Amino acid sequence: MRVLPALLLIITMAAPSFAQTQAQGDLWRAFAQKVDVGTRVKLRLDDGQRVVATLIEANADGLFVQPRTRVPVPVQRIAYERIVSFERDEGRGIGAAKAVAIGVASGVGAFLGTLLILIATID
Amino acid sequence: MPLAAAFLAAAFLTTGTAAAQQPAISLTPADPARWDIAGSVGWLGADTSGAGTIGDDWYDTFAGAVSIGRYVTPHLKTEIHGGMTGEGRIYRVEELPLPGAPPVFRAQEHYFRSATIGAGVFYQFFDNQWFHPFAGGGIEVLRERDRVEVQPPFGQVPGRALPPLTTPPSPQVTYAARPFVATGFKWYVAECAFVRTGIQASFSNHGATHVVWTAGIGGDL
Repeated sequence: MRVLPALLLIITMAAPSFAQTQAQGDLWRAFAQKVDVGTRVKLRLDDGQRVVATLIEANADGLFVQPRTRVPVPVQRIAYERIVSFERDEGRGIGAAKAVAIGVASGVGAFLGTLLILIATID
Repeated sequence: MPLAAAFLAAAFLTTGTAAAQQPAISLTPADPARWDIAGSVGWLGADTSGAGTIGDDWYDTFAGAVSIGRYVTPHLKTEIHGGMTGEGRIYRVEELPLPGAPPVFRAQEHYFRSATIGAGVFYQFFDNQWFHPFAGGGIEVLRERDRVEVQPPFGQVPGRALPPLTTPPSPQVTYAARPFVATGFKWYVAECAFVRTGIQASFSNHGATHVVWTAGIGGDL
């Protein structure tokens, strides 16, 4: 007789969670299919991982994205149910050209800084 | 008991959901870099306050170094480095006590030059990005050469003879093994080339004795 309440408890606690995940997944599926391929997107997954990626394909099974990394990595599939947030990335991050410019500026700055210290310490 | 089991099962089901059914997105390339080589220039400040005379404690000079690192994981790197410095000068005064008379002083100019070799472990933050801060530490062996130029004594009372003066041996070379900590960042300018800058401090039982700021370039292999 005590098994029945236990089963009821499992069902009542677990069911809303599954339903919620499923509903959210459906929403992201619908949203993703309205985003143009090639769009830069920002994703946050249920394990806390945050990824900026290029949208390659959004089909019924999942989202296919290419993470924006320094060294290219393969296209990856993400299940809609794993998405916590999904938005277009407006490109406020650092592109390759900007990275090169900052890197060169850092190098030049470091060199000039060294030179200035050298000059300042000459007796 | 069935109720307890039910709680456990429910907790597992509600928190587990679909997560962990699929691996997280991997940002590690198929063929990640294994080695990291870099060269740098910088500026060293070193404390010599243990010398036992009056005057400057710290000297500063140019420093240059090379390093080779081996990635154990995408985040963890072991590294060996070697470096040399220019000659840093300090001015110190030695007090020579005279019985029954004011002391006499003798100036000394010390010219320090050091070389180091060290090994450490570094943690590199972020995955496969353009900007990677890092922090780590290790042990380094320091060879320090101290060349001393001794000036004639001053403050001498005319007609009063000085006691026999000993001249410190020059150059003196000392060796020491010291722990170090370091932090900085790598800014990639291409897939495998970066600009790196950082600061490193090594310690003796007097505290931080050698602090060096470096900036340089390097590459992943």
